[in-house]
Amino acid sequence: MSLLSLIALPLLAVFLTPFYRNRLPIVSLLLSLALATVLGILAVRIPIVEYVSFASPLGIVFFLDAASLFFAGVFIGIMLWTALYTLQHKSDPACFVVRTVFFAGALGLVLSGDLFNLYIFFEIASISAYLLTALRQDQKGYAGAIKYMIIGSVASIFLLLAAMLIYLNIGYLTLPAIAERFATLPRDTQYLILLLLFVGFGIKTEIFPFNLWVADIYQAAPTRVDGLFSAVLSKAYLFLFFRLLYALRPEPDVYMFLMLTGLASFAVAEFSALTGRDLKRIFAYSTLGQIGVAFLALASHDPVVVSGALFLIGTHAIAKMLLFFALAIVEKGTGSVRVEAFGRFRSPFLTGLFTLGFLSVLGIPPLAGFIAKWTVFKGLAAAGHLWIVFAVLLISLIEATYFFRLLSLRARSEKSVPLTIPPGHKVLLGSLGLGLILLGLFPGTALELCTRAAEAFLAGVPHV
Amino acid sequence: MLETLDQTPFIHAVVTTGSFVIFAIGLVGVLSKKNLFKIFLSFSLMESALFLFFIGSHYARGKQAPIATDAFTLFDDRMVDPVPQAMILTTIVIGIAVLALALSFVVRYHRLSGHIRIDRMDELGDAS
Repeated sequence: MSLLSLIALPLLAVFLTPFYRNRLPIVSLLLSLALATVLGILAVRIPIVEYVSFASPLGIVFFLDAASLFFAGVFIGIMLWTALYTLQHKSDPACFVVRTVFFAGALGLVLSGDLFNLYIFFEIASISAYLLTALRQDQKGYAGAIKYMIIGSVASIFLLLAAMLIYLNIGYLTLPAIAERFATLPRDTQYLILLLLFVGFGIKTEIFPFNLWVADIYQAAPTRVDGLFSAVLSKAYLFLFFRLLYALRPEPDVYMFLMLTGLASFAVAEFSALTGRDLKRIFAYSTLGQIGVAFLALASHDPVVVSGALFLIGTHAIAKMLLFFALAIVEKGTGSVRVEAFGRFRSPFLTGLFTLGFLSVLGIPPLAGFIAKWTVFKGLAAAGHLWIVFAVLLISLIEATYFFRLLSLRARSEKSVPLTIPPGHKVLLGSLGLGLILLGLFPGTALELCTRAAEAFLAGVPHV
Repeated sequence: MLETLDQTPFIHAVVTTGSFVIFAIGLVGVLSKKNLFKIFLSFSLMESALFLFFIGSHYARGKQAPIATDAFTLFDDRMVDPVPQAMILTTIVIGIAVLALALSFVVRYHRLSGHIRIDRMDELGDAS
């Protein structure tokens, strides 16, 4: 079983869309089950390094180690959950094609091991993200997609320039070959390349000061698509940036700089969320904040903190899928995503789910988010960064302010709009909520997986 | 004297300067133009400048194009480096696809809103 099948299968399914255009929900489910099976078969023999066409350093490299397995697992899990969720919807070819290419792009980003392939999957994921933003085909959607394309083009120009400079100076594009030779470059060239990568990936991972556009995109895109952006897209780029960074082994002050950027990102995002009146924008800012914390933790370059960051990425993906998909139901019922509409709907089930999601993002025990943040804080304190722990806790208070304001709004206002939720969707949303509780109560196995992934992640790229 | 103009270092200098001038023109366009169509064309210009720079900096006087023919059955020193050429060829295709998608978004947006000015795109924000 080849690693390529994880990328080729979804693309093949997309090409064959005309043959089963009326049965797409079931095809989508079968596809994600097939991908989960393939990943399961491959998982037993990690790390896998695979060359396509020539041997390294000339050919194209794909690899799967514990870290990329973790991310691929999260993405395929989300793909499977989304397929189950859309099982009751009617067959929609456009949505199927764009969503499947989106997942193929994200998997490609995680698996590929040379800069040029990364650039191609980067563009595939970006193009499908632009299309997902405009999926509703209304004026807001197109405005958002155009904004996204402008900022995305800037990112891709920076990354292309970085890849070119690396090739001009090193003469290779495969990550293992680059990792071996990067330290021999002159210091100013190293810093120039790192700066270009930081700007390019900073835009894509949605890190301050490159993230001022993100709330607009989330507002323009359909609400359920926001869940995918939040849980898959930003996480794939986060993985990619740190995979490159750990492979290139820059000097320690670079890590310190990145930690401060993550902290600034968290602070700015939470302050922006405080004044928000549009729930999609508030959730978008909350996502940016959590990405900031994950960025900070990954940049600490400490095994315990990185394992906590991976756990945070996984649990945040679950929580944000829950919040955005639940918000989509509220939007459908009340016709609005304004804060005022949040008080009006009547559904104890959704209220409970929103509460679970908020508390997990905040990191309140006994939910999964708590375990993640606790691991990160424990590692940071042990590594001597106690002040960062205090700063993060202080900023979390702001996050708590707006989440509790939303919950108190629920408690105070008159609930007049009844919501109808299909039983299948109830079960699926409930399973996410249950997942957050179970991961919080019994984090043992998951945390161990994260620890192993963190070790592989920090070790850099597999050697040839 | 004219022979120096035909040497590899001189050609590299011309290509580097020229591509940076084109890149700067594109950058100015992106930053100063309000018309969405012109903004995306400026991005295309910036990308083309990068392509020129990368291909040009791997050009060497007297070497062949990296195509296997009867005379050249192996990739060797008589050919220029094939990797940048393959890379840029693919990137050009991606660039055209992205540009086409961008322009189709602009056309659809124009149908719905009646304008293509970036300073009048105020649909998104907390107030609406």
